Amino acid sequence: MNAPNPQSAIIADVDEMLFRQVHPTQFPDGQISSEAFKPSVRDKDMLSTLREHVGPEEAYRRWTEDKGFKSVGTYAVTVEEVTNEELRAIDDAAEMGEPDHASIDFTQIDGKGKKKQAGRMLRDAAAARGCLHRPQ
Amino acid sequence: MPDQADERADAEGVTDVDPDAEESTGSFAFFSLTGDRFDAPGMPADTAKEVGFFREAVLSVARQLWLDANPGRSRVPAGFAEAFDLRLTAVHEGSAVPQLHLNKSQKISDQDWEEFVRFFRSAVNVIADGVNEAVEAQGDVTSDEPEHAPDSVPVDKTSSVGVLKTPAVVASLRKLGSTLDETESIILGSPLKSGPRVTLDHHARVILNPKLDELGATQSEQVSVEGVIVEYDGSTQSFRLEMLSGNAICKLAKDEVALALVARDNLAVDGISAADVVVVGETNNPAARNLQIFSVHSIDVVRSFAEKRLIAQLEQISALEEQWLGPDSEKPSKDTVERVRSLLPTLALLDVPVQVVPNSEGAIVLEARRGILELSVAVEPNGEMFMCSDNVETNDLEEAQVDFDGGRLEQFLKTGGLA
Repeated sequence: MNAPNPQSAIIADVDEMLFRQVHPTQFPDGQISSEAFKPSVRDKDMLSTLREHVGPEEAYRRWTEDKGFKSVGTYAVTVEEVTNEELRAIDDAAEMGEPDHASIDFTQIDGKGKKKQAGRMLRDAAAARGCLHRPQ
Repeated sequence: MPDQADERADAEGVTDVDPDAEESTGSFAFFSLTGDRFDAPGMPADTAKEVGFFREAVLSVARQLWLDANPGRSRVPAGFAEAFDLRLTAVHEGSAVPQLHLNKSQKISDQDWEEFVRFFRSAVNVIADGVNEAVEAQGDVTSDEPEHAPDSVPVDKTSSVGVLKTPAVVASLRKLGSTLDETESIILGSPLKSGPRVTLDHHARVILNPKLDELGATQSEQVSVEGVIVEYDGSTQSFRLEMLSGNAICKLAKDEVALALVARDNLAVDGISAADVVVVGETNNPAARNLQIFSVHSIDVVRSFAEKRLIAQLEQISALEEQWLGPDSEKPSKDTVERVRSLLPTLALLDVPVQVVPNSEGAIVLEARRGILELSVAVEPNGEMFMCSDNVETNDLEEAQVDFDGGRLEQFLKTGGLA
């Protein structure tokens, strides 16, 4: 297993939610694609999220207003759901230079298929929870 | 086919032969187009539709005559319309005299044929008599509101004019001569010189259709328009077509039962979710933003709703900018978009819905759920594709990284198998 960056720390609170924004193109016909919960190689297999204390509305605002990206709304997975898939939830705010940033670490997952499947598992959990903030 | 003597007689408009002779030639009706345009051999192609309008009018009147003769019946017998197989076999000079013959299909029994033909022939005479009567009375024979007809025009169904007042007949009569200019006429009626005939000159046509002059157009032309059917009215056999710019109110040609079903089946109840169709019919003003199309005789689905949905998803993807999902995210290349676009018509036909989504590495991913299998194919920018079958119950995975192959991709989404 790869060790997290020394500046980063594994999030231990299994009940904490991690917020993820979903791009409109990854939300066809109102269904979330597993691609929305799968990081890319360019992201070094780290899936960007924000921590729960930010709140779903503020998480949406930072993504769309501060960064100028698009989102259909804020979805979430818990740390427990992350670890159930043999992934890690990492507080890497300092490393990323972005307050409240957390990443879901896919680096331990070998193979495209396994990563796609892990993304599917997270997507299913997030979809079951429902959208936590949707713009008016 | 008529012999040479009959052809000469027809050409001169002198078909004064006895009924038996008429039967032997098969000549169904006298029909002549007069005016400068019709002096040359043959007839202008754009006026050939007048023969079609004539057929429609005769059939419409024959139907009404049959219904009047069979009280209590609301429909003519099966095969009635099909039996009226009017053939244009030649165009004689003087001016243009299309030769119209009735063809008997093998499908129709002799008994039905004899009965139906009686009504078809009577219909020709009724049109000739009825229009003559109305023109002489200067009445509005085809008013949509019979109660407003002049007193001089009888409205009972026993009179020729009465039959001509039924809405379906009115609609069909109003088309006669609609492609002609003011100096041109149609003479139509019995094939027998002694039988009734009527000259439909401009004056008579205005009586048939008082709004003819107001329309400012005496010629209709065929149009073909594409759009989505957003309203359908079964009682008037009409529908509204929403086009990219403007609307068209489309009225089906008579007896187009199958076409009515096509229109209804492709109705977008929500105004959006239906196939794109191409409608072919006639209009008096093809330049209008909001078209009035009549005699619709063709509705073809050119793009299923499933395909439109996929196209819309791909269009969203092709509009992405670089860094659309973060600093390192890549938009799909044009080649990748076009590679996927070429698959859409086939993917739209699959028995499971397919979704098209981008990933941040510049790939376009096609996803489908087939039972317990979640299937995905990432069409990658390097010319390869990654196929993955994920069993959501057992979490068993099958995957393959291969060169892009559209046929194999389609087969995978169709069967769920990688082989």
